[in-house]
Amino acid sequence: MASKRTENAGGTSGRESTKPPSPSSDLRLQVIPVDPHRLFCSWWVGPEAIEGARALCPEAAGDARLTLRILDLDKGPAGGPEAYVREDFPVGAGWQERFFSLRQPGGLVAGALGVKDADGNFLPFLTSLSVTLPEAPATLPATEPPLPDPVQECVVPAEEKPAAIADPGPVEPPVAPAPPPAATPTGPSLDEFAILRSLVRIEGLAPELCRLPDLSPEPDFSPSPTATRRTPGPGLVPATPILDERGVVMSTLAAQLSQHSIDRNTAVASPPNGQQSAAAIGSGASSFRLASQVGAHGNGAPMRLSTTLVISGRVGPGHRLRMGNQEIELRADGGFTCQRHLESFPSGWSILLQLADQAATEETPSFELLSRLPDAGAVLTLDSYVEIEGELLDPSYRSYLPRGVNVDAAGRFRVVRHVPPGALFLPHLVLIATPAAP
Amino acid sequence: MTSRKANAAARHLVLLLHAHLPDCRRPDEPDSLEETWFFGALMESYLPIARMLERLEREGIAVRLTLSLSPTLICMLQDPALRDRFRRRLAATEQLARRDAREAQCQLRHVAEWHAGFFQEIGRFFDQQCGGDLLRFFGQQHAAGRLELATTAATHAFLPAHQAHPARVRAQIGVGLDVFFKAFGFRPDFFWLPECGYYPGLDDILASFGVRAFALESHGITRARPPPSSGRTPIRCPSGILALGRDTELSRLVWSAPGGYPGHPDYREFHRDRIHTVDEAALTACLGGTARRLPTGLKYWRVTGPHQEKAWYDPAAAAGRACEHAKDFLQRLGAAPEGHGIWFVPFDAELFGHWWFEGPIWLEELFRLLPHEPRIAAETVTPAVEASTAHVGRPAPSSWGEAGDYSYWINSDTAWLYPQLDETARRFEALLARFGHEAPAGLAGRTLRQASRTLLLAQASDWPFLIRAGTAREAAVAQVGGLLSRCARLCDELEAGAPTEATLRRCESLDRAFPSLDLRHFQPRSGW
Repeated sequence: MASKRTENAGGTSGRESTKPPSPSSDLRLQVIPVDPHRLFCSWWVGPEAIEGARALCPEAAGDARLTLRILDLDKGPAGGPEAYVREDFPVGAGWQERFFSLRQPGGLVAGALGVKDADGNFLPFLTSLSVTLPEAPATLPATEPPLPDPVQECVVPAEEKPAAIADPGPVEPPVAPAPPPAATPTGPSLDEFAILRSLVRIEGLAPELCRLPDLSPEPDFSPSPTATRRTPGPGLVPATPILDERGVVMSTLAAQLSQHSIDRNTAVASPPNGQQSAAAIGSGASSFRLASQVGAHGNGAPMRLSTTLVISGRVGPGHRLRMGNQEIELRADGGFTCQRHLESFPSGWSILLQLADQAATEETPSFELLSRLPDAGAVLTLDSYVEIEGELLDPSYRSYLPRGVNVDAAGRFRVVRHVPPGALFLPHLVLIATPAAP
Repeated sequence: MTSRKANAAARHLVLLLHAHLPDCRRPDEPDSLEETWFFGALMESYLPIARMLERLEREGIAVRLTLSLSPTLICMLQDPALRDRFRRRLAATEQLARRDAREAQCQLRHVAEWHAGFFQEIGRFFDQQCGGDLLRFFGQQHAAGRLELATTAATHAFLPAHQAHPARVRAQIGVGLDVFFKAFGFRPDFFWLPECGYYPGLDDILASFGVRAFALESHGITRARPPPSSGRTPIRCPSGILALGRDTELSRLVWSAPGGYPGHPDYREFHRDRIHTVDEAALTACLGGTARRLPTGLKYWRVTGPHQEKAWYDPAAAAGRACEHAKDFLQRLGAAPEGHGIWFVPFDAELFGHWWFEGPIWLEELFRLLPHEPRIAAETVTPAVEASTAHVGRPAPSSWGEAGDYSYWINSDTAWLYPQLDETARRFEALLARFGHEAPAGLAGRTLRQASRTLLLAQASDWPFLIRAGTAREAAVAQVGGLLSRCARLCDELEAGAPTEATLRRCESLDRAFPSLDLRHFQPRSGW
């Protein structure tokens, strides 16, 4: 990227007049402070934004990366634009959310999404609003001795849930043999992280799984969308694009997994023999081990997933049913089964139930609302579940699958998770599609 | 007032109880877990605390207590239908205790009878002394100078999570103050920051609403810039508003799970409820045929020890222990090294009675003993903080969460929620901008107002708290999911220019908080 077009601006100063590469609705960035060293960021960089970035810097070819720059707004302008730069993180496009660990604690910061080329030139096209990182309690010695506990002999345990509200526990359907690979679909690919995030909400998926590295497609800023993009081969839905930058995987994974412990840069910069600081070993060894695993398996993604939402049920007499704009065919007894391949963003689905002879204004707005009707069970019964067919490409990820899931010799598995209405009808459900490879 | 000591050397003790529950009305669900939270807090905490105040007033004993009532709780306490459901629940609980007293063996009979009497007295107090209106009672106590009433953000949103959007923070504060004003007829001087969550700039917003003081976790004071000489010194922010720090050492005597007063073997065991052993016949007879097995408030056992075997509860022994612990608290406070400032000890009001059943007795004994303790003067929060010498500075961003930062509410378990809240808020704000400064009339106006109500409710800090704590995770996910879903539905219809009465009525029946909500609080202001 030619430096004459992209000043290496750290802050917003001097960059505010930069025209966004696409309509603002195609770009989102939210930054929330978590602790003195961590930020939670979510962003949406849509296809239009990527196209706009390509148009803005046509010579960038394939060496520019989408980057989240953390700006240090406590720094004064005297140090020049560089003074504002706190840290840069290569990130993916589409809908993303991640925690970022910062080397320096505290301060007033903001995020800037932009394109960074191999020379380090950064062209921001969206800046977040500023936020202040919190401060931890001081570790200075107390000026007064602590008061001794008044009660020594008992421990008050954490509140127990009454039996009535205890978790029902995972509902595992009979394990079916893994299906044969499906034909390559022509539709958009999936963002399995969004689905996994949803599943964690739905029930008990290992949290580690939803903190997998950022495997969503890296935006390609080359002038032609087909010039450098790698096209996945046939097989299951190409949910996981092929990564081409090991460093991104390593740093992202470490950042994702180091919730409480390991410093991102310690993990990335650690020598291959695993020598780390005592602090890092003490508090973040497991994170590092996992980072090493990912590094070891190279550029490939650890798994592929194909996910389908299946809704079956029965509608009371005199009703008809729509999912979105699609009429659902009912059997004679009112039963139905419908499926949706989880692929589109940002679409949650409303299941509309209407009395067959009533006007639209009389409709019950959605199942979520319907579920609170006293006679909801008589009108509509639902059994929704998400069915995931997957293929493990990296066997070391086997341990992160839910317990009870069988994996065949070829690494294929099937997971079914029932979906409570509250999870199903969260707006957007964070189900994200990325454009299919041309 | 007799408790006001002229002694300049006296150390000021400021006790604050913060009462909050998320809006948990479920009119279409007879036995909901969420309404059980409200009934439990009302019968075990709010009413016993009010009874304590009434008793001390009758005996001429001075009280200086600050009580923060959250706007969602205020709305629920104002709801006549919820009051009726509470009365039925209270009567059923008493009935179950009486049934136990009739059928049980000697020791259980005694403790069951005691519980029946306790809940009968609570019901009598609610109807006869309060006229079913607890807010009116608290208002009278405030007017008499015994209580300082305060409030918090509309739905107790964790404000640092929304700091990038000052208009959203303003809406939480503005709507909250409006609800309080409509309930009591005056604006509070003190504002309780939800979860003590503070970030630089929040004080400016509070000051713009006329708030005079707020509270922080202790390191919000000790790490202020520049830092004061002591954590007990109030800070005057650049905006002029005063900030007060929690005294962690003194608070720990009550708060500490492993070593605080509530863990004493004599106290009532919170974790063992009669519902776990009640048979179907009794459940059906007392709580109705469709009753779910939710906590009743009948807990016949005492803490006893860390093991599973629990002894029967002895109310007299527990009350005596609470009095001893009140004395111990004052002795420790009196014995602390000399120093100026304010010993500020805020607690969740629900700790007193609901969690620590004898908490109201402890509090009552404290007020009985205080007039005899020359070194300590109790005061309510605003007079105390305004009478102190303040240090000028900027408090540190902080919360009273586990690590003192924001991670208890923003973490890997809850992070999914914030983009959804942001997206929903963006849609609502775009609609608001489309309609301009004047709220639309008719159905569109009602729908927009309902969307704002639902959005506020979704922002409550309770949902990430419950998800993180794991205590009612599924219920919290379902609640916030339903709220976001309903808000999205309302926005869908407004965006399509076709709001429907059916959707609106359904949503209004489910999310009833803030009936006279003013949309102007959501308008962005210049300068932010």
